Amino acid sequence: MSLKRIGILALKDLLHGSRSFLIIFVVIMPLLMWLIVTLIFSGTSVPRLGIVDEGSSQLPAIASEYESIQVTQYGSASALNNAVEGGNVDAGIVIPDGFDAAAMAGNPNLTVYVWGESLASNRSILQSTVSKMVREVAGQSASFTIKIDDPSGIERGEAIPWSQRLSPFIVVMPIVMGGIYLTATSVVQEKERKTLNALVITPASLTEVYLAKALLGFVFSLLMGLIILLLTSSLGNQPWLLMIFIALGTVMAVELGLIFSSFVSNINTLFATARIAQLIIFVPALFYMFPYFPQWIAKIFPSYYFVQPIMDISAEGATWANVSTEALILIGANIVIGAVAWQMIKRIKQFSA
Amino acid sequence: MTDAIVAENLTYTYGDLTAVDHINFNVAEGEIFGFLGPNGAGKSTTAKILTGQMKPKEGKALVLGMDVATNVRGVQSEIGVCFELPNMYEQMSAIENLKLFARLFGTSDFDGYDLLRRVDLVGREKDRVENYSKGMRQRLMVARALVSKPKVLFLDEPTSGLDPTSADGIRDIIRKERDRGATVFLTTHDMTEAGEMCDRVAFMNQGKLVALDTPHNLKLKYGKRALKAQVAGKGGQLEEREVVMDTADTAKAVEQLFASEKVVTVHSEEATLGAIFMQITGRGLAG
Repeated sequence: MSLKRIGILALKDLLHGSRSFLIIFVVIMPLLMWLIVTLIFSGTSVPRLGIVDEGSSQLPAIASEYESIQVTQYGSASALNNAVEGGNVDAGIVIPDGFDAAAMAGNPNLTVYVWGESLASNRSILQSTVSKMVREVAGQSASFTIKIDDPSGIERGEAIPWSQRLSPFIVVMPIVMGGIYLTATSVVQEKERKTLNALVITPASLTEVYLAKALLGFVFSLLMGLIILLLTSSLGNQPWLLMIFIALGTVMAVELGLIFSSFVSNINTLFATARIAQLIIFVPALFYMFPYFPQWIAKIFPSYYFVQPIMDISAEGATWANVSTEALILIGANIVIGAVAWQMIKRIKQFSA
Repeated sequence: MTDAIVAENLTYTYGDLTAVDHINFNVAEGEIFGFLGPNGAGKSTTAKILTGQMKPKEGKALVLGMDVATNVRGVQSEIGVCFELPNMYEQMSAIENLKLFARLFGTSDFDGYDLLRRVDLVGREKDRVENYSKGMRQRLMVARALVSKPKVLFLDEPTSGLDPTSADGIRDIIRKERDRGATVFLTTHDMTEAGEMCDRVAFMNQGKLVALDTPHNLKLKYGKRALKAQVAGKGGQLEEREVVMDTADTAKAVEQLFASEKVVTVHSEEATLGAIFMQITGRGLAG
């Protein structure tokens, strides 16, 4: 096997491959999806804070002076709770009687309600603003943290905002499109146009041709996955860990692409049959979208082991300790799928040369 | 002279169909070897086995002394193949196509423009192949087969569909390759081409090799030479007469023809390879 020849073939595909397919499916479609989701489910709304003052705190007055947030006062904790559950405000605080004195004594106690579908950016602004307000009441040197409870009883799954629920699709799409379709289309086009016959009577072997296709599919998918994560500001605290999972997911997609391209000989058949591969990869994303579905079903699909960790790392700040099991399962699945792909390519070689 | 190609008991089956049936032949170095037969005779399968695209079910194929089954890379680095149907990269230019294959072969002294000059494509070298005519594509295919300066050249219908001038140009290239020392394995339907160019020809029919010799010897062995005459008939119209040559009665028959008929034209006719093939196999070369 010659790395030089693999490089020559990959460069040929990069410069002269199906550019329209590459641009439409690998670049434009994921970006379009991201744009649509951003436009529909996100927004630039001002963070809304609901306040119930059970005593006579300075906090409501201080809050009303902040132009960066919109403040609404409620008469009771239950009214505030309803407002939060209904999404009328992003978060609400119940200020108990005697709060100011407690704050000055260094023991502030606030009950905070958070609307599950509020934008993470709004929550973050409100959290820091409330902290600042409490500090103003207590004195600038006061040091404390705000612990946010979820007393509204909103289940985690029901509360995930749609923009976040759809994010697996946006991240997975370039991986699927690039990994499966770019790899497989490239091979199948060579078969359709009979150029593969011309390549394999040169010193380049069939394995080298397939590896060149896989390499290009891998690099493109990986890049697009990273670009989407950057655009959605979802790199999280551990970008390298995230990259490992995206890379492992891309490897799986590329391997599936190789399997399909090994027995399909025209583009139409490829697009029809590769939907099976799409299903394998997209199903876990579907379960992420509808968390009240039995989640164990998603774990049957190998792609769960990169979709879920990617979301956990980017959205929940998961660490290696949290996702190491998934990583090992994913590596195992990639080895198995890779072995199947290798056997399929070997089978073609036995038939031909 | 050593053999560039040796086929020993070569056999290939597709299920129950025996496409190549225990054939034996050898091609000497520097020889232009014509491989003739109708569609489905087993020519392409044989060529695919010899070029390492398929593995024989039985027998052995040697190219330049290398067993194709066990040293396919070694064989493929020494051969050039021109396919019957154009399979160039359409979105690339002619020169880009040639450069790609030169890089894959690792040809160090590659001169793409010289190759394109030989196939009369200079001036169009930067055009995308998708804008080429059929003839231009075919000529480019021949040029691609020459990229690695191959020792053995496999050409499948290289002049098919070309205008006479282009076809002559390709034949000229083939002869020059032979003069350079290359061995040429030429698959063709064109009997005239085979007769003119090939040192030896082999006839394939239904997977078997039914004849192998020089065109001259085949014509001597199987051909029927004849005198074709046109005579003036009773109503003034021309009628055909034929006198078979090389028989004991030939002289007498000629004398009788001139004595009894008003001969208008007369010419000798040699047997064609097509007619010989039909005589041997009972079927035409077209199908």
